[in-house]
Amino acid sequence: MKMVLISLAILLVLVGIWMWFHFTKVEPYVTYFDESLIDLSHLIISEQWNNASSDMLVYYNNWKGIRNLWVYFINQNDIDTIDSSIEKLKVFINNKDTTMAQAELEHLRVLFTIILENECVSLENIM
Amino acid sequence: MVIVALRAIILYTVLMIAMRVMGKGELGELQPHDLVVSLMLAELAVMPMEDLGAPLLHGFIATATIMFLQCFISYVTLKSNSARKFICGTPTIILDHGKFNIKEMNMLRININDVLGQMRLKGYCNIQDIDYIIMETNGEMSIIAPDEPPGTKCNRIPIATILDGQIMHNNFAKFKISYEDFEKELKKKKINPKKVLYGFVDEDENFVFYER
Repeated sequence: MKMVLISLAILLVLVGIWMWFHFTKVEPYVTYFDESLIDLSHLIISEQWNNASSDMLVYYNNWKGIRNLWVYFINQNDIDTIDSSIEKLKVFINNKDTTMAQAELEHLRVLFTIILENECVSLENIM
Repeated sequence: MVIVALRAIILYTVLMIAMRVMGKGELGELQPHDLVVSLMLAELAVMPMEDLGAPLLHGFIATATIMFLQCFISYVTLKSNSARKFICGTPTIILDHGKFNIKEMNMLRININDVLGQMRLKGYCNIQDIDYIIMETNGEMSIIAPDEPPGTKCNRIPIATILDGQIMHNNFAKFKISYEDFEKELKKKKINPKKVLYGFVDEDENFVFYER
């Protein structure tokens, strides 16, 4: 019985860590980045490049902050894809390329959504 | 990450069912749940090593889930007789004082050669020396025989004349056994060779037949 309780405790601690991470570090940040990218999209459509560039810098710094924690919980390949997409978006905004910037922005939104969907407990993910 | 734990639970259950369906012969001296854990832990240890992108925590959660399931199943089988019966199965008598339990042998998918091989490995050469052969829940065969040490009566190993209904023609020539005597014995005992599971000539040149 002692070993059953110890092993259950270890499992619950690990699941607890995951729940803390998911509900405080994934869901709020994905929502934040999604909303931020929608705002950025408006700036790109209205071609306010200076505002878009300064906002992009803020989002970029926030992303750098959270990515260092995400690497311990989320697949590194997913994080690398987001890194690459953010770098592309920065270049498109600096070059004032509306079409490419919008396309990359939508791609980035999908990448963040996928992170959230992959962590959801659903039959689709289990199977 | 909970997905990893849920997947581990599902795979553990599926492997457990597979091990129980495949039967005791596949177990190799382990209980079904022990073998499942050995199989899964070996893979789980490799998974985070191979996939450098996967966080180590995924491996930890899967391992912790298997560890908990193993402790839980061990505890349940220790405390509940019916759970033990369901998870580990029950021992099966294959031979009872010269009578083979064909139905159980078919269910366990073991043939007469497997039984004879196990018998020899345990130092018995003559089936007549044995009271019981029991297939244990861990896939091992136990042999219960009178007190006399095994093998002392064996001057020559019994030569098979019929295995699973098939006459072993090669053995007659190889060991200079009279086929006429064999046929006479079959006629005398009114035995159809096709209905014999195991027939042999013992060291005293007696023809012995075990019908199905």
